[in-house]
Amino acid sequence: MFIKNKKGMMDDFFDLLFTSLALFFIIFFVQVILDTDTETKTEITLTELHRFDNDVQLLHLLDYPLSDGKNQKMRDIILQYVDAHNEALFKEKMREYFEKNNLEGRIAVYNSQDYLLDKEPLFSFSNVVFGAGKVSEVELLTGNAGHDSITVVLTT
Amino acid sequence: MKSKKGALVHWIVLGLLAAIGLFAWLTFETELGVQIKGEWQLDYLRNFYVEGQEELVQRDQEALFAGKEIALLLANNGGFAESSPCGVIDEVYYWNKVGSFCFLEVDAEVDKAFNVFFQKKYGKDQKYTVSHQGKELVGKSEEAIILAGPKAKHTIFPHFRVNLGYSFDDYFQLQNEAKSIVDLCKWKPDLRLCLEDTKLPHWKFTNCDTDSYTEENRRVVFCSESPGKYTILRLDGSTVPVRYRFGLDFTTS
Repeated sequence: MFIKNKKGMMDDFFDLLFTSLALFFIIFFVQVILDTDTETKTEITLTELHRFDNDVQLLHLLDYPLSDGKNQKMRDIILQYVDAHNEALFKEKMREYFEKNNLEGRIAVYNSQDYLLDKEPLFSFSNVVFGAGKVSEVELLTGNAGHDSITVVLTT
Repeated sequence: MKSKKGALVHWIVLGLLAAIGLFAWLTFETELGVQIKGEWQLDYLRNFYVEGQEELVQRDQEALFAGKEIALLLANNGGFAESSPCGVIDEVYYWNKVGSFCFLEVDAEVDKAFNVFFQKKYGKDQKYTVSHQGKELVGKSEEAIILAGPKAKHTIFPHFRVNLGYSFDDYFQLQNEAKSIVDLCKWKPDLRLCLEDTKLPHWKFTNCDTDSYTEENRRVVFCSESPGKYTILRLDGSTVPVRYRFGLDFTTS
């Protein structure tokens, strides 16, 4: 018979059980710590930071004062151009702003309902060819009958 | 039990394992290892600060629109938001009655007109204390907007300061001019002749376009071009000249 004496069997069994559990937890914690990819997490931080910069850039664009002697801001003329269906002037003003602020990206103005339905924008201007980027959006109420509100979207 | 030494070691090991288990259980939802830097801060900036700023941009835009509309509305009502204490006859708001003038409390009328228009147009309960400073319309909100989430709360007061490109100070000049005209002409039997001689070039009779004299019981309706030559630039890009419509009473008793 292999087991000659049953006296120490329980001791040996618990030793084995405790050692296994201890090893399990040790391996678990070591793996959790080693599994942390710092580069990925830094990338996530930078992406979020870029998104925030993009949000701030869009707010800056909308609040940008124009030197037209009428105390207007960029958001005022966006609304005017939408109302007058004047895409040419919209593009001209946006080009000026993008050049002055060394900005690369795309700005698009949607009817808010169309934006939710993923439809085409009313106007857009882009000075770069690119795919997906950081997207920021602000909705503006127009007070006009044609469009209740428009959504301005900046992608960089 | 023959030896208590072995049992003690076992209890210690068991205690340690229980402690590790308890730790693992309590920190189950906590991310271990290197965490994303600035996660909370960036989340706060994007979902609370930027959201708040966007809300303020929208509020500015709404206030600008409302401010321009009430400027035109008030001008057409002689500056009164509701009714003139000197009377309203045929939708013309009178600035005087027999011998006394109903001088405008301009900011009070602007405040009243703005809040009525703003709530009607945008359906927001926000109450503003509105006044003007030069060409700027200033609104102080009495209630805060609270953006709240599970981990943060951001409070903003949606005050605004928008440039209308127009000053409500026009009313002060017009009322001074009106007082002079009434003082000069109220005793004159030929009222028309007196008014034609004394009224300033920006003052017209009845309508700014036709300038046709009409008089009823020595009450005359006027339309005045803006003394400051102000125009309102609407959101559609069109400019509308500000024209004031009001009535003056030249009776003496």
